[in-house]
Amino acid sequence: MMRKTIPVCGLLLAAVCWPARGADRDFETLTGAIEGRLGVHRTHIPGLGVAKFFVRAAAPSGAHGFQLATFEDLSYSPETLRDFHTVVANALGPAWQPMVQVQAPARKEYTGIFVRGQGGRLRMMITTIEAREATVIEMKVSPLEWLDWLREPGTMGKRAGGTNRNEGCCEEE
Amino acid sequence: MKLAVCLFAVAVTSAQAQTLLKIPDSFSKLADKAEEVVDVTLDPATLGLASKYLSDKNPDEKAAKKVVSGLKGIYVRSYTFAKEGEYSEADVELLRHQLRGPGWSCIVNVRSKKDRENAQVCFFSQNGSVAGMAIVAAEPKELTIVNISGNIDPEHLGLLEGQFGIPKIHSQNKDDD
Repeated sequence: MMRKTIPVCGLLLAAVCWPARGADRDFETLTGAIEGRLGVHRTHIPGLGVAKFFVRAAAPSGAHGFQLATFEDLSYSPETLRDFHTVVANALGPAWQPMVQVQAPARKEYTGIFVRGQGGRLRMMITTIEAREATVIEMKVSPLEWLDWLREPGTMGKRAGGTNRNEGCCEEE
Repeated sequence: MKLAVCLFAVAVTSAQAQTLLKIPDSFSKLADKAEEVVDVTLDPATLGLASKYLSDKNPDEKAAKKVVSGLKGIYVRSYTFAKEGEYSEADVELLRHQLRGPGWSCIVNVRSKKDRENAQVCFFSQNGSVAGMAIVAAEPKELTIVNISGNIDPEHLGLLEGQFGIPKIHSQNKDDD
């Protein structure tokens, strides 16, 4: 009985964990697609692990479980952004619902926000490109937090990336 | 029996399709001219996520669920231009023409002479209830189209204003000088 129980438990454990592993790969798949499309590599962010810990501790009922990737010193033509939403959608796959797309090609700006449900919470994937910088953020939010984010969809990308042109931050060189 | 189910599915799908505005193909040229284009798509699958995870035990979530649960789709498209005159009345007419179709009635028209803004609010009625809504808001440098599909409780319309990219408009006819 014991000899049969262990393999069965292993299979059950794999069945439970495998979808989660697949879902965790979404972020890496998307960042890989961006690297390929824009010809860049992710920027190393020192102390990100510590930051994640404090985010989780400070916002237990709101956004948490976030992943972050940044890309700097981008150089590409405005035409590259025209079908960028398709690149993101294809990288994430059908499990992710497209929600918001903001495009400003002349300013080389793009924001794409996708969402999927998982374990009673909603996962948001926010991709933001502003001139020479790009950011990908994935975070889990409660349904109310998600609705709060949707109040101003046109500025969701800037809110997630923490940049605001009106505040004089991150101006184009 | 199977034929009846198929016909019912077609009828439901067809009825929902009537509440959805078609963005004219020519608007791709507007997108090229626009300084910024915002596209919000909350389709049945996305809205279903919110409705599914909102709790009835939390008063705030319950209230939000009440608004969202009857909706089948919220679609917002907003074009912002660097200067005036980038879109024409003919472009807007392509949208308004659809809102003169069967089932649609435009009962609110908000016009501001001072700001040169014009917002038209139209409802799609089916079997005595509101099954769809559309707003076309035209400003000198911005054109916004909002389309909501689903059972819309008129009491909740005010709650939707300012949310999901839906512009805030006055709820009564008025001309501002």
